[in-house]
Amino acid sequence: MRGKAKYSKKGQIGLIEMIMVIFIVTVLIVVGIVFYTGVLKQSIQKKGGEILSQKAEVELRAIQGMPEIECSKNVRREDCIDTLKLLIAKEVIDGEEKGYYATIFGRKRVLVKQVYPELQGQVENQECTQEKYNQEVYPNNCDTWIIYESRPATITEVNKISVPVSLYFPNAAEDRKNEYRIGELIIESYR
Amino acid sequence: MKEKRGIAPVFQYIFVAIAGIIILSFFVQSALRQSNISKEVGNIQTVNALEDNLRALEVATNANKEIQLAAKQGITVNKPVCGVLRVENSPQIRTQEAIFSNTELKADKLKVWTVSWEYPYRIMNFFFLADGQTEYIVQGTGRLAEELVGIQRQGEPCCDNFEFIPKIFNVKTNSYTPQSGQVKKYVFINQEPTVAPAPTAEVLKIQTDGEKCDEQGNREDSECTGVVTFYKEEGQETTVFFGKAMLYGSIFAKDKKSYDCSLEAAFERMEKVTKVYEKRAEKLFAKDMQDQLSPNPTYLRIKESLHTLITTLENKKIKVRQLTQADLQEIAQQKEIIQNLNEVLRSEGKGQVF
Repeated sequence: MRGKAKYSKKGQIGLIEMIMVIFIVTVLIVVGIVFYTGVLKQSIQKKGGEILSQKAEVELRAIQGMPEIECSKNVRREDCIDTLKLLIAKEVIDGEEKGYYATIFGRKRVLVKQVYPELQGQVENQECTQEKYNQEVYPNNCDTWIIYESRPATITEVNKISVPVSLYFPNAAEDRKNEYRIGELIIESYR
Repeated sequence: MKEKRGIAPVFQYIFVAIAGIIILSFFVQSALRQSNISKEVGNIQTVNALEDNLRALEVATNANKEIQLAAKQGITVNKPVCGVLRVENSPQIRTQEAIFSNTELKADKLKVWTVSWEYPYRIMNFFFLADGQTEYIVQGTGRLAEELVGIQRQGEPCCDNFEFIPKIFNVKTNSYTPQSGQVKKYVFINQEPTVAPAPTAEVLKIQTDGEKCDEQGNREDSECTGVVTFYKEEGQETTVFFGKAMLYGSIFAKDKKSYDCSLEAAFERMEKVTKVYEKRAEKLFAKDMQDQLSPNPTYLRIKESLHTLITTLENKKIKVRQLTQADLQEIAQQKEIIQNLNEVLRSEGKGQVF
């Protein structure tokens, strides 16, 4: 009986040893996997951010050249943004045809802001609307045109990018006909 | 007693073997998953590269490029449904672009050409994609056939004065003797086809309305209209084209079904852009009314004409697969009216609508 108990204990110790070794190896592997996944996740997030900003840059150029907002004179393209079209874009791109343009823009906020001459006081950061357009003081009563806006329910990252643009004000009040101002086209990409 | 003494080591071996198998299978599974992920990442990178390149080229009036892909990959365009792009087994992405190409492409370097489509105002860019597996053989006696291939004429510099299919595509002319093996697309301009369609030979006939498609006299591209016939072994199908960019589209589209997909995308965008101009005309009229006692009625006329065009496009979009020459004439006439009214505004010194 003594001998039996001795062999059994040896076996048990061996088994416990083995379990311990496997347990430690498993713990090491799990720690390694957790670490690797963490690093991988970080690098994917970084890559995602890079792709997002790269896409935003491409988008910036593409939006500038969209016929829906680009200037045209006698059918020919002009290197500027038509502010009258921007007012319409709010109605069409961000309004009645939003479903169509959502495929093109995705989760973004696209806007144009006048930067020079700089409008100060109450009109600063005021959105240009049809109502403001009808006023005698237009375009000195607002400085922002929102072309498109679609935010996800939860935002984890916002990538903001902008480019200077020339703003064209067609057929405004007689003394301001064909006026050009300086603005910036801003894209905020959401993730 | 002997048997009992042996239990522990045997049990140990079994235990180690099971644990080893579990650990090994875990690593094998991880490796397989990793390989699938990297394949998927490669596909997504290709889709991204394709999307970004197309979007970047969208601002160009006429540009071409060879897009280098990560590896030789299969790309499906407008298949199984219109307006989708897919690389290998990656999830398909929706696109609003008008892409004229074979429905199945396989390449590590994709050839892309883009041309702005104006009818009469700029609407969007058309993209022509090819993988280099198809030879395009343009045949015809008129000037257009020569222009498409970019043939230099005596005393004329090639090819500053006219648009032609870029050299990156395998475009050949009448005198070329086709080699066996490659898929050929025979394009007959204003002449009856002399080649029968076969599995490796696609046949297309382009019949232009008069001589409006060549570039003599610096004609507007939107003046170029006509009828396209896709010849198949089982029969032929006919449709129309509006503008020179769409003529190029018929050359690069796999068949009528694929051509119609892009036509649908083009009509959809034309409707949206026309809507912008309709509202622009309305606002210009309102502003004119605010500024003076007698506002210019041309703004209202052009607004009405643009509205009629929107209604026509909405109807045509539905029956895009059965477009006839009558539809072509209807849209061409409306375009003419709008263009003339815009010209009236210009001559009167008023702000133009487009």
